[in-house]
Amino acid sequence: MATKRKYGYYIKGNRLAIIQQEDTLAGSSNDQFGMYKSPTESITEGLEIEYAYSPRYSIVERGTFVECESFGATDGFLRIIDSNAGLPTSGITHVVIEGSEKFNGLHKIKTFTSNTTIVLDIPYNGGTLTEGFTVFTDVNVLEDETFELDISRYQANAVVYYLKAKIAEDMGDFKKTQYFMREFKRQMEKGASALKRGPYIMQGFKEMT
Amino acid sequence: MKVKEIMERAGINQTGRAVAYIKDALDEINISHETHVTTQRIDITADQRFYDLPKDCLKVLDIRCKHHNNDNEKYRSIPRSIYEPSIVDEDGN
Repeated sequence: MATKRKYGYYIKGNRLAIIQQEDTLAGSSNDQFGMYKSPTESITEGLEIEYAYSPRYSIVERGTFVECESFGATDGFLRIIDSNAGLPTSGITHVVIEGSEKFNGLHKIKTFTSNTTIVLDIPYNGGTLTEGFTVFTDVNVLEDETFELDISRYQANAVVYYLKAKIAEDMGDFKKTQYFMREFKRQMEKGASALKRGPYIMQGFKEMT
Repeated sequence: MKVKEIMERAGINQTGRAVAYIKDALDEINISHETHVTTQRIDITADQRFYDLPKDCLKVLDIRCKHHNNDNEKYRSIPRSIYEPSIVDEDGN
C-alpha cells in the first residue's frame, strides 16, 4: 500500500540530489526522525523532472526504433547492445536514446560494429550496464542547411537578429551587436507576451511551505 | 523555417558558423523563454541520493516525486532545499 512521503531536492554540480524525510519510529526512538536523508526505498519512475531543452534534433519516425538491453565500453567509448540483432549497420549518423538512466538524448555514431552493437562517440570506461532502453534511428539533426527548425516563424525572426548580432560582434562592431541583441530579446518578449491575455492571478499551494 | 532561409535573411553564407550560432540562439531562447519543455521519469533507488540530470537539460523547471504529500501515487512538486541536510550521503552516489 502506498504511503505518504515527504521529499526535497538540491542541485550539486551537474547532479540532482533527492532527499526524503525520515518518518519511521524504529522501536521507542529514532534519532533521525524528522530529518532529511537519502531516499529510504526504491520507487519505479518515482522522480519526474520537467525541463527546457534546445530543439537541436527531431525524431522523424517514432515507429523506427530498436529496444536494446545494455551498454558497454569499446576502446573507451560507449557501446549499445541489442542481442536481437536489430540495429542498423550503415546509413545513419546519429541515434536518440530514451528510457535510460544516464544516456538519454542525441548521440553521434562512431562506428558500426555489427547489427548487435554500435559504438557511440561518447567517452565511457565503466562496466557493462544492464537496463532496457529505446534507440530511435530515424533522426534529423541540426548540422546542415536543410534542417527544419522546430520554432515558430516569429521566433525564427528572433534567431535572425541573434545571428546578425553575432556577426557584428565578430567584426568588432559592438554598437550593432547591442542593437541586434536588443531586437532579439524584444522579439522574444513580444512573442511570449502575445500568448498571455488578462491580469496575472497568483495563488499559493499547500506544499509551498 | 529552414536553416537555409535563416542564413539568407541574416546574410551569412558559412554553414558551420551559422549552425553554431543557431544552436547558441536556441539555447538562449530556451533559457530565457522555455519554448521547448519536456519531462523525464527516473527510478528512485533506495540509499541513492544523486541522480544525473538529462543530457539535454538546459533549465530545470520542476521536480516532482511520486507519493510526495499524498498516498494516491500522484506526482507532486517537491521543495528545493537551500542547505544540504546534516545527514550526509555516505557513499557519495
